[in-house]
This record gives sequence, structure tokens and C-alpha cells, in this order.
Amino acid sequence: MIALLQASLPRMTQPLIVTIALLYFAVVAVIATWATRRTKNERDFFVAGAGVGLWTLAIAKMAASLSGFSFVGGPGLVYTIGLAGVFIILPGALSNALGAWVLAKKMRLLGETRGLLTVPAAIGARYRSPAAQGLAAVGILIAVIGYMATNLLALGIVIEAIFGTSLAAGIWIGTAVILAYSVAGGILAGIYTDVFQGSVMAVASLMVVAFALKAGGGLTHISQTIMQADAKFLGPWGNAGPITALSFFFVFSVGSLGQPNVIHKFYMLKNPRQLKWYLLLMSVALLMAQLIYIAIGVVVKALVTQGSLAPLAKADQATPMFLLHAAPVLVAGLVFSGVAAAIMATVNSFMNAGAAALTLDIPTAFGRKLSDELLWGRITTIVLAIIAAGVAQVSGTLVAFLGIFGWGLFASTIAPALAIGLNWEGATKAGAIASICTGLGLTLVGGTLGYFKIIKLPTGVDVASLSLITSLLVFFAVSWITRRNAASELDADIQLVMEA
Amino acid sequence: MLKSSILGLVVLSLIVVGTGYAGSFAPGGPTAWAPWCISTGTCGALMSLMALGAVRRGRIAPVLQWVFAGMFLWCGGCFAVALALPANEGAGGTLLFGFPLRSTIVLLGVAVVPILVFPLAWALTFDSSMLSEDDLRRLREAQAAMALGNNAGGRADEGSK
Repeated sequence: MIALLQASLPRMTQPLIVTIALLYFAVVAVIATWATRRTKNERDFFVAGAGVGLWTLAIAKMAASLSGFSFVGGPGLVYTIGLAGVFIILPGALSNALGAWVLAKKMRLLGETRGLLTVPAAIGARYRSPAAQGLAAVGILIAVIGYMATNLLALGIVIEAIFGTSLAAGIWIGTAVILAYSVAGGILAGIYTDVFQGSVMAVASLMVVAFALKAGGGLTHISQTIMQADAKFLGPWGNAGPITALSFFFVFSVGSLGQPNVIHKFYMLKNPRQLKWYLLLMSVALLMAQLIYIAIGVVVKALVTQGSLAPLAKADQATPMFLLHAAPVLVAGLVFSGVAAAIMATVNSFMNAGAAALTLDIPTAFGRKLSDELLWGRITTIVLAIIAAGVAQVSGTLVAFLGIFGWGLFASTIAPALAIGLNWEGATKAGAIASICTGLGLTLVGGTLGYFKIIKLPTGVDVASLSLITSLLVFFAVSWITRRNAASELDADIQLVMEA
Repeated sequence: MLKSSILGLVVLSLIVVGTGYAGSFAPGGPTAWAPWCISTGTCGALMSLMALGAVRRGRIAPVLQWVFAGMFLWCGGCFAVALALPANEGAGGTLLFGFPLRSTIVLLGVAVVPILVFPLAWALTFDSSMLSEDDLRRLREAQAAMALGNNAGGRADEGSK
């Protein structure tokens, strides 16, 4: 993608793209300055003072849940394996609804009742267990580094392409920009830059889809072109087969209950009654994301098949190639900004989740409380960002591996204990700890053995799905075995929230 | 009782998914029933988890029962049709709304229809089955009373020392 962008962007058009990118960064700086002035304590830093409105929450959640993968990696995956790649984003409507019924109200009320600031703190409060809180925080911390490194590498590539820097410089410039507003304004700055970034993404998505359909000659023509050359590509399971597609469907639907960058935002909603329209707003945002994800990969495949576009050397070239081939420069500039926006919004959320784990959750697990949590939140944000940027710069293919198991680690360590635990009075501390340990152990060991090719799973089966299903079943089994302890581990105020 | 039944459905669905994955490890490639198990089990897990979250005071609003059961049949059915129909995505294959037939069934079934159904069901039942103004007021009053009781208990303990 790097070489392609540098080689292919016409010189005359680069200044316009650079101007749009600079304007974009300027707006982010203005929002960050405003948010910094409003960040007075750790509650502002970690949960935006729990004073966010519904529109802001919905757009910020959409921006945080769409990483650079939605704009670059996703279309590339669809170009490579056909419609099987769509199953990562396909369950979005179901996972949004799942999050609403299972977690939205309970997380919001739990945050209010206990003044909670982090997702592991909800697990700790549910089971009256600092150990469960600490273990969940360790899972988040490990996954956050991988996710941040993946996204910082993608941001480095975008900055390199737009400004002509080296990749290393791109990574560190991108890290510095995100750090500037994340350290100063915490999640408050993140939320409001997310609103701006989410809006840029939405506009970019709609424009790209319109240009994609036009470039391909309409949906029917696109389908017929591809079907003549590659019969499986547009089949329901693409070129990867039903097990791969359905594994994506399982992990990215049920596993969504464990994504801290998304769940955490429920704490921030000012009025829990506003949740009434939450699902509707999220669904509109999701529709836009799904459109860009599917459209680019499929249209590029059609253009390559009919010979209008040279075959891609790498799948990640799908989005830049399409923009350079079929979209006006202004749209290309907007989309490049949209990609940067998606990445920055995601990294900010993960920085905050990681800093909260280090500053609040892990000390709690050891029975300690830091004296100045706001200051430590800022320091740990910097430390985590530097580690992630370093990993992004030196790790090569390892960075993709870290990103892949990040999602699985979140899902298998958080989803059972939190999502089912908040809806089942019979869940126990032993069940929660056993499921978190199972998720951590299986994902880390299985992922590492798979990466070094010591074990080989059947086609379509991945470590994330096996870890998730196992940790869920372990949670139920251990809770059932230790069910006598269930009632004694549930505080009265938590029970009130669960029954509300 | 209702919650226990729903939890039973969640566990059953997860076991079906797990069985599907076990079938993927069969020598000579995945068994024919493995994708059926993963798709049906995942749809079952999703709908039963939503139903678990929708239980209030031992019951679920009747309209939501229909929504969750109906969407399980709809989503699971769309996957089943896509798995059962013969592949016909080559040149001259049947198109529906500009896309191959089986793919359109899956895309409509799992992505588009849920986008329309769930937000409406959620919004329409929110006041009666999720969180009304009265619910919120009662919860806050109960928690305030509990906090007051805890503070009073704490002071009494300190006094006795």
C-alpha cells in the first residue's frame, strides 16, 4: 500500500490531499484543546464525567468500533476471500442488539450505583472479587497493546502515504498526535474527536459507495462480471468455505460482548432513559460501515476481473487503488482522512482502556489505590503508547498476529464473566475466574503455538472461536459446580441493578 | 423458572456450536453437519442471550418472546436455506436484487432484516420492559435508602468500638 500510494498519487493532486489532512488534524487539535480545559479529575479522564448525550455516544461508539480494518483491511479481505470476509461485519445488527439487551442498561446503572470507571471494575463489583477484576485487566492490557500496535502501524502507513515521511516517522508522528489529545483530555477529548471523526467516516462511506457502484456499472453488472470468472467469490461463503465464514459470524457476534472500548462507553451516558433510541442510531451508523466494507472489495474484484484495474500485489491495496482509479481527488482526500479518523478513534479508546487497567484495576487487585489517578492515567497512557508504537515499528508480521488475537482475548476473557454474570444471579466468582483464566491461557498459548506453526488447526477454525466457546462453557460449568456460593457473592445494590 | 429455561437454551446452543467445531476436526475435513451446527447454535446463542437480558421480574414481554423466537427461526432459516440450496453462482446464475440468490438470502436475513426489526422492538418495549421513569426513580430511591442504612450501620459499629 505504501509503495503504491507513493508511486501512484499524481503530484498535482497530492497538495489537495495534504491540505485536507492538515485541516483534519487542525480540527482535532481544536477539539482536544477544548476538552483538555474541561478535564479536571479522573472521572472526566476515564468516563467523560458521565455526562455524554445519546447522539454523541452513538457516533463515538461507531467511530471506536470501526478501526482502520474497516476501511483498509476489511475491503482487502473481501477482495481476497470474497463474501466470507463480510461475515466479520455482517453480524453488526445482531451484536448491537445483543449489547443493548444484555449490557447497555445494566452497565449504565452499575456505573451510576458504584461510580465505576472501567469494565474490569464491573466484574470486580459483580462478584465482589478484586482477583477477577485484576485478571480481566491483565487480559485487556495484553490485548490493548496488540490492537494499538496494529492500528498505529496502519496510521503510520497512511501518514507516510499522504505526507511522504518514512514509515517509522509516520508511526511516531501518528502516535504523538493521538497522545497529544489523549493524555491531555483523556476519554473526554477522545469522545468529542470521535464525533468529528465519525462524521468524517460517515460522509466518506456514503461517497465511496456511490462512486463504487458507478465505477462498477451497477450491482447486477458487477455480479455478472465476477460470476463469469470466479464462481465461488460471490457465493454466500466466498472462497473460504462455510466453516470460516460461520466462525467469523460466531466470534464477531457473541464476542462483541467482551469489547471494552465499546462497552465502557455505556458508563458515559448522562441519562439512561436515552438508551431508548440507542439501537436505532447505532443501526444507521452500522449500515454505512457495512456498505463501504462490502462495496470496495467487491467492486475492485470486478474492475480487476474486467481488466480495468491491474491485479493487486497486496490485498490492502484495494481501498487506495479504488480511490485512485474511480474517485475524485477531493473524495480520496476525505477518505484518507476517514481512515486516519477511524484508526485514531480506536487507538484513543484502547489507550484509555489500557491506562485504566494499569491505573485503577490492577492496583485494586492488590488492595491498593493510587494517590493521583488522573496523573497516573496520563503517565500510563504515554507508556502504553510508546510500547505499542515500538511494537508496531519493530515487529513486522507479529503485529498482525497481535491484532488478530486481541479481539479473541477480549471476547474470551470479558464476555462470559461480564455479560452473562450481570444477567444470571447463579454465576459465581469461581466461574468468572475460571473463564477468564481459560480465555487468557487458551488464546495466548494457542495463538503463540499457531503463530510459530507448532499446531495447525483445521481450515476455518481459529483460536479465537475455540477460546470463546471453551471459556463460555467453563463459566457455566464452574458456576454450576460452585452454585452454593452464588447468593453470598452478590451485593444487594448490584442485585438491584440486575433486577432493574 | 423462565430464566433457568433460557439459560438452558444458551448452554444448549453453545454445546451445538462446540459440536460443530468438533466436527471440523474430523479426519478428511469438516463433516457435512459442522456448518449447520455452528450456524444454528450461534443464532440460538444470540437470541437466547438477548432473551436472558430481556427478563424482568421473571417474565419477558410477549412481543419480545415473538421477536426473539421469530428472529431465531428467520436467521437460522436463512443460513439453512443457503447451506441447503445447490451452489449456483457461476456464469448465468440466478440473481436476486443484483446479487447471487443464496448470498442475498444470507445478507438480507442476517444483516438487513435485523437492522429493521431489533431497533423497533427495543424502542417500542423500552418503557414497559426495560426502563421507565418510575423504574429509574424506584431504583434510585432504593439505592439511596440502602446507602443510608449502610452509613448508619457503619456509624453504629464505630460507636460500639
